[in-house]
Amino acid sequence: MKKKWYDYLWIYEIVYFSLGFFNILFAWLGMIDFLLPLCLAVFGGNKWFCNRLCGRGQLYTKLGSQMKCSRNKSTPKWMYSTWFRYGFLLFFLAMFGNMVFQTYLVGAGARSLREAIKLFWTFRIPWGWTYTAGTVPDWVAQYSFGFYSLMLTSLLLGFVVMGLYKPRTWCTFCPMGTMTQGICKLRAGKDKEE
Amino acid sequence: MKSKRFASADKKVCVACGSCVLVCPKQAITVVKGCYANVDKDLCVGCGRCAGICPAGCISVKERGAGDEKEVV
Repeated sequence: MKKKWYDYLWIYEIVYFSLGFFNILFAWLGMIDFLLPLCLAVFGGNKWFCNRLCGRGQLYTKLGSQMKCSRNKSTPKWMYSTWFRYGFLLFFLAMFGNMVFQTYLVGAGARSLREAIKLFWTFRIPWGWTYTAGTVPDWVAQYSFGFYSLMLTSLLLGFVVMGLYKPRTWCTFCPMGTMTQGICKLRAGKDKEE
Repeated sequence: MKSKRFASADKKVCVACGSCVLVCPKQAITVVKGCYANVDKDLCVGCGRCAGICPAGCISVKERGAGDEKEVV
């Protein structure tokens, strides 16, 4: 099949994460990965983002299938069970909410900017070289650090499950995937009623 | 002539990621309204690539014919 422009979005994924090592403000670009799938699900009633546009999914396929970095073993059942998928979504949203709250605190002047990223919601890693103080309002920078932490953590989690199980095992419990599928199911149910 | 086997996805388990769509050599799979993958039985040649890539293990290859339901992979 002829390749389309969006078949190369795995390159964007690599570029995105690389940019975060030079200037943390590029983390804001990741908002596209958050908003676009939601918009497509809410207004289009589809998972076209997951199916065709997700650079991360493509990267896992490239590394896992083509470069054989995956054991290609069956994903454990609990990992794609409904309770785990929605549980992880809730956990992820709670962590996202906390990150937004931290940004608010910095914006309100109640907390100072921390030039660090937090991996797996636990390990704080100094990341100060990617930001020159005062370039943008503190809250903008704080959000960048927080958002990049979230993106990098989930990427690494995805790599771990890619290695252990199937290339796209991350997709089974990806919060965005769960959320958009939930929206699509709600929409499809509504269509049926009408 | 149709193949002896065909793939079938479990709607309830499918996470609609679309990895099966990308590996299907016959473009026989579609993700229906972002909810689940659906295999077009008439187009499917039963190669099993989709079953191999599915991260949720929701695709099985079945034998065509009487009952259509005998699982082989």
